[in-house]
Amino acid sequence: MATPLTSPVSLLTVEGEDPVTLSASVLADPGNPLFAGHYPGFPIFPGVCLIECVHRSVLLAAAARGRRLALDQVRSSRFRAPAFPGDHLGVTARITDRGAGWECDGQVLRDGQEIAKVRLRYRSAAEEL
Amino acid sequence: MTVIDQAGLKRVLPHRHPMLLLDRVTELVPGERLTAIKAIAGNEPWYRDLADDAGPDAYAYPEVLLLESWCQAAGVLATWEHPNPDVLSGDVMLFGSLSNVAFGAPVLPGSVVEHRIRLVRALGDTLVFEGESFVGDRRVLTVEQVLMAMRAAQSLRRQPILQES
Repeated sequence: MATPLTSPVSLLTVEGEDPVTLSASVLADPGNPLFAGHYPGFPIFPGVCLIECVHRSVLLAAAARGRRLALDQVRSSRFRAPAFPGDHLGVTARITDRGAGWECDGQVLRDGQEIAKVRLRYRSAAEEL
Repeated sequence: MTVIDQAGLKRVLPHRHPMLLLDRVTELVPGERLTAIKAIAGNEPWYRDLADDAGPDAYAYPEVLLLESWCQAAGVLATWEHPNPDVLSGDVMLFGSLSNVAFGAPVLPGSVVEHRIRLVRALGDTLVFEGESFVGDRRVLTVEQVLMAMRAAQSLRRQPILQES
């Protein structure tokens, strides 16, 4: 899948069936070419990449449960602090099965503190393309 | 029609290659609405690591970048009258929160996306936007609400994380 992340998301734990809870980690890769333009002389990991960290973690956890999901909605997101090149980010999420899709409450952490809160909704990927 | 080209976008936005995710603005009514174009290309860096045997759905443009592109268009509408394309000084426009952003069918390389942005209200230094994006007559993105706020550039520096009040 195409993605703005250049370092892999490491899924650390996946627990339960419904809800599924996950934890993951991902590096804000200092070699990511996007930092050249976001922003010149002042690299910041884009807020949408924090959403992507949660999203990729959910896809991995879903695959571990034998499901293929497609992102349907960003229900909400709030950004409390920026992330910078080289930051090691943590992801936690709680995923609830809604029958037709999954609902995810996730957060991105740096040094154990929340820097973004993200709620996502997924549909089954079977209907894709 | 083009009312803001690439050079013009660089006078308004701090984003640069490969994160300047807009090609041109086709309509601008300051303080009210904006229409902008983003052409999706298979040579963008997000496609670099795709394996040769990846299936067709692997080429879907990353949803979050479609959203980023839309937000950059909102940023142009927000700052057109007082641009500051420098994130190191002055006030910068920060993308604070969003709610109910829905994605439609996957957007593939070769697609030309039209973003439509409307300023819903301005509350002090906070601006509220809504809108959608189309590829031809097919809706690929619906944005119920995005909040942007003007903040001192200094607020982007690494600092202790504020606790929720």
